Amino acid sequence: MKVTIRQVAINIALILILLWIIYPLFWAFVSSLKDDVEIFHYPPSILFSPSLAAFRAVLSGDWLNYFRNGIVVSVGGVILPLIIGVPGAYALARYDLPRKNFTMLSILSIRMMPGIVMLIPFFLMFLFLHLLDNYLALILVYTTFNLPYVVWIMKGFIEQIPRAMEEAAELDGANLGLIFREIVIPLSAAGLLITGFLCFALAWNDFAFAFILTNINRTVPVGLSSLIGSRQVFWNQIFAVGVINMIPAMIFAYLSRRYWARGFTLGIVKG
Amino acid sequence: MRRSSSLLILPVIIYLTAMTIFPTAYLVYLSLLDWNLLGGGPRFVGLQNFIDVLSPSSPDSPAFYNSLWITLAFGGSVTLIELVLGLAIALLLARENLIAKLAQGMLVVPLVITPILLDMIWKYLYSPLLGPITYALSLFGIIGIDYLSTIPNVYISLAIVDLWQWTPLVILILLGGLLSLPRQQFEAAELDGATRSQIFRYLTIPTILPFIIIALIFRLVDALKVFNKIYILTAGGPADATDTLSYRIFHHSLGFTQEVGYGATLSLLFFVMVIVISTILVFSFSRILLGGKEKT
Amino acid sequence: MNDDARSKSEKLEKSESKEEVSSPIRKINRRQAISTMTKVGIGAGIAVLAAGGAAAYYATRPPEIVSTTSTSTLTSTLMSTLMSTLTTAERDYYYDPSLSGTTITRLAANVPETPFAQALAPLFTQETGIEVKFIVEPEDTVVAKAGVAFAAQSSDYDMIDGPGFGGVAFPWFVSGYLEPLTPYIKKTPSAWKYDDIIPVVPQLQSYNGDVFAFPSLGGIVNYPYFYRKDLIPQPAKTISDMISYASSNNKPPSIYGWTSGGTPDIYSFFTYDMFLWAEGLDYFDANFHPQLDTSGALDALKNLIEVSKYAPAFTTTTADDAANNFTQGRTAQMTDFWTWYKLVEGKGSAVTGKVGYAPHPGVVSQPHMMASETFSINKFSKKKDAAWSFMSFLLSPRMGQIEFGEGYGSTMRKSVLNNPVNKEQHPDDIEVMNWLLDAKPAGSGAPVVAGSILPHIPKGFDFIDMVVKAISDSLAGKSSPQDALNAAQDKATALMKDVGLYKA
Repeated sequence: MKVTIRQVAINIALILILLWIIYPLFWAFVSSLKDDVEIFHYPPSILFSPSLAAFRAVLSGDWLNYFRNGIVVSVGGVILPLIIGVPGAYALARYDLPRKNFTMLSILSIRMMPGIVMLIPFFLMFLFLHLLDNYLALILVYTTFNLPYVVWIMKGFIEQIPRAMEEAAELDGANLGLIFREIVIPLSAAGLLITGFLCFALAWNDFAFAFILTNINRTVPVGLSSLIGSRQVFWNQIFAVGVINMIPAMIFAYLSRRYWARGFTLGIVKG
Repeated sequence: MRRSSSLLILPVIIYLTAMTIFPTAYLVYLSLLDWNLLGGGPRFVGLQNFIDVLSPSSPDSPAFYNSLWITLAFGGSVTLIELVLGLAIALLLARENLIAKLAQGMLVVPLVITPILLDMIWKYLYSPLLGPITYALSLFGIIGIDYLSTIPNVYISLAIVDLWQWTPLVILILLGGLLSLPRQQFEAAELDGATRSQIFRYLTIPTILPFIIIALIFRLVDALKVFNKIYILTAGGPADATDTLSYRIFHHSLGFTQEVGYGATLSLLFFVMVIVISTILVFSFSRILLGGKEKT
Repeated sequence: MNDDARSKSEKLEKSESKEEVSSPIRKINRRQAISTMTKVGIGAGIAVLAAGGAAAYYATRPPEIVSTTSTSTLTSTLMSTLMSTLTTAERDYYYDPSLSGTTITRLAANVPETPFAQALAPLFTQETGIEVKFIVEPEDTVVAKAGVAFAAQSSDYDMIDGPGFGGVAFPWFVSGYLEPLTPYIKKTPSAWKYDDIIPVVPQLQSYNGDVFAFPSLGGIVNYPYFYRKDLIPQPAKTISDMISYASSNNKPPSIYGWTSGGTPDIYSFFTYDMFLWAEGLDYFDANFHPQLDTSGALDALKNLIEVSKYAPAFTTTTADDAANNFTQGRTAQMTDFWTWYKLVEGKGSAVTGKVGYAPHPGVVSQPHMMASETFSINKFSKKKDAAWSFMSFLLSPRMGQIEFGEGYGSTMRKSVLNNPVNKEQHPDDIEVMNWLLDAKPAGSGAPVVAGSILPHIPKGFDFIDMVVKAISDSLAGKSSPQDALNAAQDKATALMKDVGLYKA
């Protein structure tokens, strides 16, 4: 096979793109392995004796709480939207509801809404309800922003399940619950996973709402920002948290990479 | 059974309505007040806040219009750059090359990293005392650049961060479209003797146009809302160069000057602006979004 | 992915055309779906287990002394000494045995005083049985959360910090959000020695005779000028000295000439006033006329602009960043208002033994910056007595000497300033703070000289915003210093008239 200049150029471009993606991540990884003195060294070193001091610092006491809180509100921010949203997606996929298009697009608009706008109202609302610093407050907020994802993505996946299967099951006497359990959920599993992941990511990574709605029961992003506002910015600890945050997400994302296109286009891409 | 199960949509509607109507109503109420949480209670001023913000003759409005302009200009520019760049890279990646496959797999990574962490990584990279970028440039003799505290530089620096984080999203969307193109049409066109650029213009572009539009809508609306970057990296920028609307709202509601009425006024205006823009975009292309490509 | 989907849809189409969905086909589809789910689920599960396993492993290792939030330098020997000398006789702070078992919450700012108080809290708990919960946030977040909590009359926080030496606590008190402390002072045992406190301190934190706040570490910080003894033989005595030292030591990127807080908020404001005071001026004259359009104010701004050229990324440097820059040996000088010397030369410092301390150039023999975080009691708190117990504990004479002796170089007590041991061991600290003994609040008959202590100004933060805008616009080149200052002067004059302080 002839190797043309064009192919070489393309390969170079591809490698550059790869490097471009890796560059910040490389520095984050490398910096997380530095100890508290090495991190302030200039020029920033690549060869040094690695230390796990940063990881030990962030896997202690307060930080373990932050991780736990993050997991709780994120799991809640997945389960609640799924419980509310999947039946809704089903209804939109199967039935000719009145003003269906308007409903769909309005739900999408919620996703577009700038979250910042809701900061003060939510803060005061939860203050009055004595739900500040409570997991429920964050779960409710995240559900609001995650429901549009669930409805849109699951609608796309549910539409792909042939009606014939459900009709046959109906004729056999199955009720709606059974249809859900045996047909809808298994066949739209990929959609559930993508949606679940996107919902989890939104909740896990949220900063603004967690910042204002929590005091002691903080999540990881808020903990990160408090590392910045202090006397000495321990970058190695910040990046250690980042590495811990990143790894599960990256593994999961890589394993499910086939479904990303569908997820990001809200199920519009069928291929 | 059919009719009753169409009620399944109700929980969604009820929940979303409750969680958006009450806060919005509260915002409207707040925007009619002059209320500084630092001292003194609320004072009803009617529409005065809106007049103060919008009327060209009031002393507060230049700051608002500056903020508005920066939000639109920055958001629009980065979206445009990301679309063009994203398309170019997507075309590059839509092949069977090994490196391309690897790059495709890595594309998701910038999107799943905690955004606030990403901003901190870039803050470190840009740090004049510690950052690798500073060091790298110093090897070329470029010394003493302030990436985030001088006016043209701050826009470039912020744009780079945004590009790094979100171009992959555009690429993924476009790749999804490119990879779903039916190959037979391309092969047929090549057999008919069409040149590469003709194929591109008459075959590729129209087919992926819906995807470009999806990417446009998502990116533009998100770019208008940019907050994390500003908070972590520039705090409004040299003078008010990066004082985007969302940062302005945050800073005035929750910074030292807790002007909650003013913040609520800005929030409502911002809210309306984003809804209007996204509604125009979404409804214009609604045919495409709602299932132009449905094959069942 | 295309092949998978295509084959799946082909299979489904075939099944549709059969007009009957037979169980085996349904099972095949379900199997496929389950296998996909399982694959991805297993991957995620492995990842989570790996992360969890690593977390458990590291969590059970013996902890290294790695500081995360605490930069306290309280040695362990001192702590154990304190712990073992429980006062059995008269306590020198407010103590009520019936309060044992309560828990109070303190909304604290992320400043060096806080880790110190956190380190002392266990001792307090041991002596009184009261638990203290700290919620530590950046300063503006403290103000934000407190503001909303007050608006809702919430009792979530018992003690609340306020930045700016009462600058924030003042409007809170005027609005009725803070508990007057005078009655609590009265019921504190005499061993607490209220009269030992330097008079001007509670005077400035009073309104209509009621004290509403105290410095949160029982002291007021000083030492605005730090320099590298190894690079600069003599501390700068004038601003132009400082500028020329900055210029000659500026060799980026390895070392810069100067650093200070320059973000467009209180930090650049506090930095600018050093330059203003060096001109013999202050923000207002005796009649509360703003002085921003004077030639002195203009020179001060021009000097600031000049020296900021030798600072790394001045407008994105907070005071904390500046301290960090200096502590890591990357700048030759620093204008600061917060740092205590033990922190600059403490653990992790790259300049231990190389730091010189001096009053800020230009204000060498005059009173100057007095700053501190303050704390107060929430009016809506349900545990005010317990809160005052902790407050008085931190401010007690016993703690006062410890706080000074631990290298924080600040105090609000005359006995500490006059202690001959302190004079011998920390002569610079004592010399800088002596002027406090005679200081009086402005408007009480004392002339307004550079840096003299001004009373709290209503809408003070609006004033700060005006000055800060002038500074940032000039630094960014958006407007000339002259124009920027004139614009600020107009706005400030209108403000002083609006709040009724302006005397024609």
